[in-house]
Amino acid sequence: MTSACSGQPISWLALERYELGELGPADRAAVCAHLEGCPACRGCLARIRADAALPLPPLAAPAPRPARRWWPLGLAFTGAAAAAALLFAWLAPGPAPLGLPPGLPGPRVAVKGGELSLGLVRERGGAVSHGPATFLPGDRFRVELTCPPPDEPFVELVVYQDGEAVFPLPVPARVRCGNRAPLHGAFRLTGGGQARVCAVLSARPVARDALAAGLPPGLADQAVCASLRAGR
Amino acid sequence: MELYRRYAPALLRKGQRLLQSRQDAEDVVQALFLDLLSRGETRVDLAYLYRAVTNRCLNHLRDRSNRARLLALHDEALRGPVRTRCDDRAIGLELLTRLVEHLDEETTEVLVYRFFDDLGQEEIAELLGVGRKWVLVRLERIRQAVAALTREESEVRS
Repeated sequence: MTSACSGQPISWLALERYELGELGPADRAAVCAHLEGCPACRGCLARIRADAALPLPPLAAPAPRPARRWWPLGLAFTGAAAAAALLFAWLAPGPAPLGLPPGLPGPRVAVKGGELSLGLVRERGGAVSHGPATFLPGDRFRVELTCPPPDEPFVELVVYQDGEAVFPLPVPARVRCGNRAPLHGAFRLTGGGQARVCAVLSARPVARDALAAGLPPGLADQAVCASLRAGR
Repeated sequence: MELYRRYAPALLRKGQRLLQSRQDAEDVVQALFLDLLSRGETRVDLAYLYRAVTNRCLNHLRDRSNRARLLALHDEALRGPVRTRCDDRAIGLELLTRLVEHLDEETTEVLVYRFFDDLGQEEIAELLGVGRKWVLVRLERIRQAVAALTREESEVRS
């Protein structure tokens, strides 16, 4: 839909501020004068006013994408495939647990200017614990990140579990580095296998496809991962 | 939260204009307010939030999988009236996703303010805390990028 304006359009920001009553007297008068002679800008203001009837979605923690389990796939495989997987696990270099990508870093690494570390906070039935090693269905987790200020990197959170990568944040978060800076967005674990919760720091947001199978070599030294296993 | 009740409708409209998806705009705006809450930041104004939503929407579009999904499912009606054009061309979601790959972050932000939010040069300069000349330079880069992409398109067609 296109719409010609009689001059320089009143910006959407100015229209929003006009509607909120946040413009000063001179700006308000200028907007009023323009609106009188410009149907296009009046149309935009009408659109803003029409939206007022729409309900505002409640502010709630974004729901994490449920992690799928291995077992539906596993049913399709025979005992021979399972035996081959076990044999691979025995022979593979490095003891990466089944369902987790190899070469994931630990929860604390030294970086230029200080330390990069990831701390998990678990909420279980109202009880909060820091640095937990286990999870149960229903537990909620948050991440606290320590990185050297004054950096403000993009941080992507990725949870590897049961052969899948899940991204709890809607978009990578820009974090002001400091001591135990909280990342918004709580998440739950629904799989049954061991999980690694990783924070990947970068100057620009990283495409999620690149993280789906594990941490690429260029990013592994800018990431920290904490482990969680199922149990009390 | 008073801040959310007051400003979220304007930010949702802005997110929808850019992403042309109600659901994605809600996700971006919710994430922003959760972030503000977790940091205890409540003394922010609409201009600050406008910038924050712009950058989050652009980050959302830089993600290849989001881009593909939005291009397939977007609702053009959510863009609203287009009052500002670049060289007589309206910049839609498809062109924006291509420009995001060609332009630097600052220039892409200027593009959004000019061609999606219809801000004038002085408003952009004030919002970003820069000089008008700085804005003019970025607008010229945008014009050149749009012209180059338009040339490419016409070459492909012929």
